[in-house]
Amino acid sequence: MHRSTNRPFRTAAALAAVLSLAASACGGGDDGGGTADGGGADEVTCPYDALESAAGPVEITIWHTQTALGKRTLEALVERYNAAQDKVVVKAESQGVGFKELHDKIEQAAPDRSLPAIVVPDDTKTRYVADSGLFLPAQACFGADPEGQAILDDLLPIAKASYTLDGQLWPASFTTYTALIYFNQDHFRAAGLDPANPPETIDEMIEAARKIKAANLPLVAEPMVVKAQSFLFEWWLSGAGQELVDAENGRGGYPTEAEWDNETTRSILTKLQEAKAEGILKITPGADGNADHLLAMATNSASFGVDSSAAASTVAGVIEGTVAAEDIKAEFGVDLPPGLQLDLDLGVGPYPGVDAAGKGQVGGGVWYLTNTVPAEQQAAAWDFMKFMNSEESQRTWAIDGSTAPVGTEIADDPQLNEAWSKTLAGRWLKVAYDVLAGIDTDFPGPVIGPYDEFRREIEKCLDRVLLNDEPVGPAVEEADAAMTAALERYNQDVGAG
Amino acid sequence: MATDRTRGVPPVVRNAGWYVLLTALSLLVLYPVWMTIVRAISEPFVYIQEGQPFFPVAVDWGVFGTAWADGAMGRSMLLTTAVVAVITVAQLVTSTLAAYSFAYLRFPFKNVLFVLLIATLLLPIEVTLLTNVRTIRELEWLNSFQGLTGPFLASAFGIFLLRQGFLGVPSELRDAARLDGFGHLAFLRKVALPVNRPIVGSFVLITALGAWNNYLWPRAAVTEERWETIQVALRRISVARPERFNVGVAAAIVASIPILVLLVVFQKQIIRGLTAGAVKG
Amino acid sequence: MTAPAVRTRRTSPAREALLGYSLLVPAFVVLGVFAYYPLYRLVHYALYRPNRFATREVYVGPSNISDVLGGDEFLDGLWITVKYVLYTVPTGLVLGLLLALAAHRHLRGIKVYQAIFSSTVATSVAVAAIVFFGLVNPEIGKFGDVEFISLARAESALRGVALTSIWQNIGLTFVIVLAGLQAVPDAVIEAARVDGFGPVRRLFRVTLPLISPTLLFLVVILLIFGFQAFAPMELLTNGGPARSTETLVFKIFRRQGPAQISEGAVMALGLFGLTFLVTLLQLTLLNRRVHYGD
Repeated sequence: MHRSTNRPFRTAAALAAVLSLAASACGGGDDGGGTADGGGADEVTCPYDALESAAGPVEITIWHTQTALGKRTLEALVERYNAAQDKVVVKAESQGVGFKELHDKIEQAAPDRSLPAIVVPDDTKTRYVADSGLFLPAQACFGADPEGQAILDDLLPIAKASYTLDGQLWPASFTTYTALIYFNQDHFRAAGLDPANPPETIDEMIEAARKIKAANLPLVAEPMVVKAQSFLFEWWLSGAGQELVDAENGRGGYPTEAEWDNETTRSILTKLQEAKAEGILKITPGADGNADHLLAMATNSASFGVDSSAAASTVAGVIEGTVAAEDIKAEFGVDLPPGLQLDLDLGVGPYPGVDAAGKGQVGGGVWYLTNTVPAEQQAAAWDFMKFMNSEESQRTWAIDGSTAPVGTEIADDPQLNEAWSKTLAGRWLKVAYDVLAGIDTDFPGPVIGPYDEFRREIEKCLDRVLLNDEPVGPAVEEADAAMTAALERYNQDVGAG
Repeated sequence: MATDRTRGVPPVVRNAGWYVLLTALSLLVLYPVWMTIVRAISEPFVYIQEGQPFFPVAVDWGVFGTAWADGAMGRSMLLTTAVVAVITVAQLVTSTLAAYSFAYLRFPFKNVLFVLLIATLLLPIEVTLLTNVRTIRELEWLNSFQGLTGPFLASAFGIFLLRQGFLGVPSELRDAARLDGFGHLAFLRKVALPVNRPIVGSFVLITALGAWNNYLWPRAAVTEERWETIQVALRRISVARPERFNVGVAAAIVASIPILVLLVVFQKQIIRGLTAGAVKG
Repeated sequence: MTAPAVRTRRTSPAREALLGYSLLVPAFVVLGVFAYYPLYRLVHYALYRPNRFATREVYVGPSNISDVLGGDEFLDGLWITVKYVLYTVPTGLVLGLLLALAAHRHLRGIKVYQAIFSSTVATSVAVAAIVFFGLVNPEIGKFGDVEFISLARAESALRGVALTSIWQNIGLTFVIVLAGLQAVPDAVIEAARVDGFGPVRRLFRVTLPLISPTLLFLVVILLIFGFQAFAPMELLTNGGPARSTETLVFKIFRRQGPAQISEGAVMALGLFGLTFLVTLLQLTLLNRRVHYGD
């Protein structure tokens, strides 16, 4: 909304451009400095007793991504903690749906070190956390605090194995999920399959799908449904003992080559592609928040599918008619009238794998302590995490929050076991917990710096092969090359050449 | 504009035709507003079950209260008002001073400086976003008042507008002021500004309107909930919770009320401000 | 363009110059810090890429600029932005014109219609996006399954998002065109009528040419709004599906982190260049048509 003549404009712009080019060309590389520290190189101390000397109540903030049920449970726990003592006041702030936004925020905060006391990204950030210099390894606190060892010993072995790097356990707690197969027991029975013995391998799933298709049940279109999500494939690979990167899957040093392109990957993709062509498998888009796979099962057009155990409570609740309408919407993006009871006889089983069921990795939220806040906040954060790991909190999380508890002793808790047997959701969560407690700790999954980029590439590959029906070979090769390039860039960034 | 009498159509019919057309167009323009109100006051799941009808169902007027309380709208409205006030006053002050200088004072390199000023119109916040965020973070102004208002404390557009206005003050007034022994400040306060009251008024309103509606910068300059301005808070209240969309929509309606009031009360000045430059004279 | 200054009895040119500079200081400090300094740093980040931990910077040089500007991400963003402008500017222009032509007459109660047409000026981008979320969102929107504007498909999502801007711009375009029409003297139209020009001919041969500066001004405003579009994309589709609604500003916004800021800075400079071109266009066009019909 201005008026001026031509010439002043052009001169001004030219002047500005020339000035800025000259200025910045003269400026050398700022922030020249050393390489980022690898995790655990120096002795790190946990200021766990800084709380004693604090003047007033210490305020700390948590960045998390829980929604609906999980969010309410977390907020209830936070309230309980705040009410029970007056040294620490905790505030939990939800950072949006899905982990992407939170990961972005963490990376953006890196240059100015402006993270809050606790952040809860997902299970893929271990390498980044260790390399960034922004986090306090919880291992230091487990060691420094006399109460710490007992907690440490009790934690789920697979979680400890997954999140330990260079001998340090980085997170102070976890909100774990694993994967399950959800299947329609009526359909199984009608097709002559035994609901007490769900498929345990991918081949068995495809066989089951063929049998159900052959039984020609009404409404059933493609019996097997899979959402094109990266983690499902990652877990198939690690369940089969296949590495995703070299250097011992990233646990023996910085990996330099991606190994996505391997026999197992190609075989899985080829089998699924063929199953889809056969008309027995439906592939749904992998976008965050897309719940087409669950809808397919809800409408009986699919008979079984695989997904995270995080949805277990809500799915079970929908079936029993006990879930709040908001949670259905928040979890699945569908509007179902409240109180609706789906007439489905669903069962769950451990995640079928390449060779066997119940393998794979730990997934879910991981609770990290940051070192970018003053010592008393770090101490306050550690105190809160002790509360989160306490038996009572674990019980609340497990019963109200639909996650698996983080400890091993809690499995004998009578209250918890009662909840686990009383409701449908409870029974399913018990299955998930047993899987988690039993995963082989020798192969806990890869450690990858640029994990987000890996996931993007895998998802692109899945889209190409499974949604667009492109040939498996080139798609896998190209994804592999892109992933290796990402590793190179990461290693450069970290100074690991 | 006189109505046409060609073709022998009687004015009554012709007018009726226009009324019909105008009403139809109005309904089209207002349709989204109406549907928004309907959605706000209807119970969401019932509304969808009924196929999203034109009239509200299962009306719940309490939704506005819920939106206000749940979304902590009071806090963000207050914050936004404060931010808008600071930005408007600051732009008025910086623009007035600079415009006065350009209009009435003589000094070397005046033209160069003016060109440099106008050139900043090529650097809207959309272009400078990334590095302005860096600056804010480095100054530890993230999640702060300074961070929210900083980039908007001065505006080339304002300086340009006011300078035009000052240049337009008739020379008789200037001569009279000089004869009366007015210093610069007195001239500014008693002649230059009062004469340009319409332009200044419009400028203030347009600036306030723009600052209230700002989305990109507050979204980038803030990571804590309690520092969210109302537009950014709306994102959290409505779009991020589609299952409670009635609450989100109600929040949007409540957030629009201050502007609607402003528009109704200051309609003339706002329109003048918007059309400045569009029409000569 | 200087005007004779008001002088007190004792002003010397030196004092006047001092005063002149000091009055400029506040505005220039703000603009220096928030307009010029960021521009300099953008150029810096275009040439130096930080590592993802922001502990080091690597010189990548001008080839980085050409790589990014020629790369898929920037070109996609540019194309999407251009498409968005193509969706919103002509429609905005035509709608504003139609409404203004319809409401520019002496009828009882015409002010009411004028108020209604200009009412969308009261909406912010966030509010307009929420309004349309309720109308075009694929799951809860009333028109969520209309294919032409479906937010669920990559080909059509941008159109659905554009609806938000088109509707929101109605108020502004109406107000501006109406002002333009009102500035046309009745006598001129009357003269044309007397000369036997029918309504259609009057429109195209007399009215439109007379308000062409206004229309051009409006086009420029709409262009600028179109290039700066961000909130509707973020609120309605979050850039999806499959990044089909990621305009340049959107892509820039997403590149704040240290690992992407270099790419983002180049894109921002590209946007700067685009703004520059558009402004140049505006000036040349405006200058050519400014004295029409007076």
